[in-house]
Amino acid sequence: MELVASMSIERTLEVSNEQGLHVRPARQFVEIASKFTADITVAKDGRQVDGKSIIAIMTLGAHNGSIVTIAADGPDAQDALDALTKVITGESETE
Amino acid sequence: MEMKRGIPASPGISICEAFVLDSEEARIREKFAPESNISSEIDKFRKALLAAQEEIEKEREKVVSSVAPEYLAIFDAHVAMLKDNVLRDEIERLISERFFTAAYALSRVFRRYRRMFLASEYLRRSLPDLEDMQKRILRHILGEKRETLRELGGSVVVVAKELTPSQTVAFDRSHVVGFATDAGGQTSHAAILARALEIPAVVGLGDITSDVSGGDLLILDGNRGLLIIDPDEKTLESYRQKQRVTKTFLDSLVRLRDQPAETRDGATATLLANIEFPEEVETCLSHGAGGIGLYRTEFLYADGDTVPSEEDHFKAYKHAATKLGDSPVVIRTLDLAGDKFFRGDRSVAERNPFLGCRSIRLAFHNIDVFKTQLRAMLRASAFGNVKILFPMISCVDELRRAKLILAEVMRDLEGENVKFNKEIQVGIMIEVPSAALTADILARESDFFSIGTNDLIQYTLAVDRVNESVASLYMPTHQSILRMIEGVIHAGNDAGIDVAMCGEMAGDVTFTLLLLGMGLRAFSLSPYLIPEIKKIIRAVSVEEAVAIKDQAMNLDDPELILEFLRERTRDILPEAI
Repeated sequence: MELVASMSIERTLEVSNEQGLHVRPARQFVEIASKFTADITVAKDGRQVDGKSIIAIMTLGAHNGSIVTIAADGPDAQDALDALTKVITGESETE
Repeated sequence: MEMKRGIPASPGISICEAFVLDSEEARIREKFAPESNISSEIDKFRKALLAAQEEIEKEREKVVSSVAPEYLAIFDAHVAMLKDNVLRDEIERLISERFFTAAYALSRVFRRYRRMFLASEYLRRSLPDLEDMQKRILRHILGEKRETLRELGGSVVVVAKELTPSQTVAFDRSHVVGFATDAGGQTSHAAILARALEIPAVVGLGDITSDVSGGDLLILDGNRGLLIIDPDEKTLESYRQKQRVTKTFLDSLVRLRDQPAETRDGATATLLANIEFPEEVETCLSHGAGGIGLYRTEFLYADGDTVPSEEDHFKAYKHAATKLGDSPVVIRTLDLAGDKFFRGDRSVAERNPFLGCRSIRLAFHNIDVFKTQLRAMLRASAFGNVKILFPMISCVDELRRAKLILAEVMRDLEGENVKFNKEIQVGIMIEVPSAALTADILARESDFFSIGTNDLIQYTLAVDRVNESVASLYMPTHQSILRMIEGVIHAGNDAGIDVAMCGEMAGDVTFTLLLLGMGLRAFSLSPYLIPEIKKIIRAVSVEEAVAIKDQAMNLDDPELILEFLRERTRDILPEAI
């Protein structure tokens, strides 16, 4: 039996984006997350939400400096995490 | 069932479905759909999402070349919300599992998000985005058939963050049976208006707009300041019972309408009505008012940026004058704070507007606007018993100046051969301590006094009663106030001019005995309070009232005076308090 290249990984990061995961950054996060087939979640203070839902991410209230954990589960999990890390850490400011 | 406590702003009980103003703008008529309609409700919802999305994309197209990219990103974020699977699934689940209509399911789900957003300082600033989404989707769900507040097909209790005067005036009054607001106090404009229109209201409910969904059944108890969301059968029945009892009581008061406000020993008082809008004239008549003791004219300026024309004024005044026949219609000239007036023109912010250029002082600074109003008042005087009332007079000089301007306007009208009452009576509000203490001097040049207790108390006690940290110092029974009021009544009576009271004390049954005892014979109050005040006047003799007044004035603590007056009022009219 062949091993499927599916994996579940997570990463804990500090939000460094002046606005935090506010309306626009949240939308950017969701847009990027939605390009991957992996299931993506974002968690803050023990509450985990769907990483492809803007409204759910907004309800986390992840302001600048909060600690969030993003997790991806799927064949492209690694790439997804790498891309999303940039949004969280503010390296991907361009729209 | 959920019970929320607020500030009772206007008495009465309403049992009705909710209309959430800020987030919905339209009435949600049906909460549940028959099972057979589920797929069509889901379909309706999905189409609304798509339509809203197209709408946003079109709006984006229009501005794409002219605005900065970060602004465009807002449009994208809104589209992302409309495409959000989590949101969509939640709403569709309520439709398919609980048989909610698309509109009600939307309202319920957004309510949950509103609550979450409100709970966090950080998220609160995104609330407008959320509300905007909700309104957009709802608009597409309801389509052409949506009922806005201006044209309702059924009765509603309006739930809003706060209500501006212009919003309140625009209501379809035959269908708005109650207000409930997050903000506000008993003296906020919406509260005063609700009382004037006899619509039960509760204000200061905190985050009520996020606790109620459009279409929810509400009990609004304006007597106790309660709002009950989704009441159970037992509560509902007990409130229906209360509603019937209240109605019986009110009906019995209305029966008093045609009886005079005469004490047991034959002294007569005049009960006049305070009104704010021309539409209230009918209420005055139906509640047995002997005239209009205070016609506030500020509604004409409610729009803020435009100055009302002479015809606007004239129409409003003529209507009242004609309807009232020989009974007096006392019209007050503009009584606005500087900051509420001609916002565009005034660049200097006042450090202390309450002591600043407001009311009659503002009129002196805007002579043309003032003259326009005076012209309209004079013209209306040809159609009834109109009297002119100048507010906030603080010294003889101001009174003379106002009368001089009036004389100029009269000369102009004479020159144009326009008919008006040349003997028109001109009176002043006594609401500044300096005027109260020199009432004997002012009486020589006034035809009548109207005591405005609200401002008189605030100016005398140096208390802004809207400021919660000092509001408890606002005491109508402070001896300084009582002495001043008595002094004004005596000064007026000695000079042989009419003295009325138009402040809130005049409509509070607790003070009726005291004021009668002081010699006050004209009370101007909200029309719906007239029957109650009439009832207590008819139950007492002047001799008794004087004795009660003397005893009250001998007590040394304002709280004790208040308690004493309450007790004596209860003795005489047990059902009053």
